[in-house]
Amino acid sequence: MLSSPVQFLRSMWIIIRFEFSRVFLSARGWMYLFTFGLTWYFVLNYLVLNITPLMAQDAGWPVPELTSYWRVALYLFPGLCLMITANQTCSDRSRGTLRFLVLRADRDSIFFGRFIFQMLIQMMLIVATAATALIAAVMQDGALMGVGLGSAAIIVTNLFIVLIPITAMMSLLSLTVNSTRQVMVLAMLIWVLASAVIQGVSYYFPFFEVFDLIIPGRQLSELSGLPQAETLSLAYVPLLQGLALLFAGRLLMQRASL
Amino acid sequence: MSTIIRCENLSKRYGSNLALDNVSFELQSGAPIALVGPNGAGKTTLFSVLCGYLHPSSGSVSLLGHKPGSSKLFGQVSALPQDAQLDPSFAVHKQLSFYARLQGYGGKAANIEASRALELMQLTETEKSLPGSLSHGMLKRVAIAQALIGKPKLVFLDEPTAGLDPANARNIRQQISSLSDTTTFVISSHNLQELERLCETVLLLEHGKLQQQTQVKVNTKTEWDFLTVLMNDSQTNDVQATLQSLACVESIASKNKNEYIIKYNQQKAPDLDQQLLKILSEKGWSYRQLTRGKSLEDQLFSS
Repeated sequence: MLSSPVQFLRSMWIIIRFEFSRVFLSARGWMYLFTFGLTWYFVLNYLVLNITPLMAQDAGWPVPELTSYWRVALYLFPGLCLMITANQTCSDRSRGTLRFLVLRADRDSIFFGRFIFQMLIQMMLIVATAATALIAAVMQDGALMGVGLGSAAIIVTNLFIVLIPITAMMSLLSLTVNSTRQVMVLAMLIWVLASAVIQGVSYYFPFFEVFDLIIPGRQLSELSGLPQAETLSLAYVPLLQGLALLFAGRLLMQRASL
Repeated sequence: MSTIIRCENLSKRYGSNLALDNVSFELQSGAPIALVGPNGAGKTTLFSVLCGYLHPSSGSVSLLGHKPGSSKLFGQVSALPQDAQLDPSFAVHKQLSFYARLQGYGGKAANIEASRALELMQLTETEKSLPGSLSHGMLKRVAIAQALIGKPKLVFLDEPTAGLDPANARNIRQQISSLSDTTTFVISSHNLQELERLCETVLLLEHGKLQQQTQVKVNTKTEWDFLTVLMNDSQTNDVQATLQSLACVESIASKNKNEYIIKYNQQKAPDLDQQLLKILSEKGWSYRQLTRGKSLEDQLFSS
């Protein structure tokens, strides 16, 4: 009999691997990746590289192609995150598949295993897309390789951190409703309603504006205006949001009826 | 034999509806255990609480000395949950192999174990099939196969043979019988004849309450016992009177046409079954079935 922490980690690893096989060992998974790759090709060519000349003057960012990538990806990935991470547990729960799983793996390893898988797959997409922008930059000027690698690393780290609370929010919402679509609708509603409520109340009570920071992604507009060197200064916001949402999601998972 | 399930004052409430009402019982490992009761009696809710899918509103439950859902029970307790479906994206063997890995099997061993479980349910040919391409009955058998992965000590089966053809239902009964030396099965079913053949202990739930916990096997120590005889059609009308004339027969009830339940003093007439067969032979009356004791249906539902 394995000890609990070892069993937890082992189960989580098996769950993460199984989820990866959903993407890389199925025709549907490859179709999604192909579609994403094709879409990204157009976004890179007709959006990112098109606005690159406008970024050349940005003193805070050394590689224009990566600057335009950063501005696009900062909004693209959170939107994409809503779509690809919505179905973490909802389908399995409504179908009853989780009942097979919880007899063999504790609820924590299922919840965190699915969350970590979503973060890893998004990390892969971020790295792959950032690499294409870096390649585009190096093709223009080979000397940008060194500085571009550093810049890309900061961008990738930032994007990864930005997606933590959004993915965690989807982990939590996925436990509350029965379909992917409902999760996405609920996430949009929370974003819109919570923003509206906070803005409305802040009008009368300005101190209430601080609650704006509890909404995942609310720091994005501020973040997009920062020079590269300062982007990580706001990382505490998504990290704290992520922690709080994962804590709430874990609690909900523990108490959920399956 | 050891205590395998202990429930104390277990209640489960859905809003204003009390699905389980102060249920207490203790079950020992060994022969299969039946859980019966009308629709809505709380059987599936009880299974769900025992499996850790639902948390009880009050009371306590332990399986093999641990709370349901405890990691100590992984691989020891498994279940065929009602209406649970496999993931439609993966072939059945891949999913069972995944479950075997979670139970502690290594890669190759997990694949072998998944194949073994499917073979038990005579489903080897479906290994590479997606769940969507299988019939309802086959899916149920795959779900039973997942419950038999590894060497579980306790298996909950919610309606295991409902909706299955007779041959496959028979295979499942045979597998339960052959595995019951090492695994304790708790079976929920409306098929009382099936339960009667398989189980020794029966729990009867009604309106969320445990009404009875009874033994199916014949108890030779009690004063009164029963013989149930089912006659062929077209027998003479004096069967009941003739049976009544046997020594030590207390009463005879005939609930269905040609079926007689004989209550007798088994301590005074331990060989009444042999006397009965002799009379039937002498009279030239043919019978279809002679059963020691009452049928489970009569035990549970006759007043």
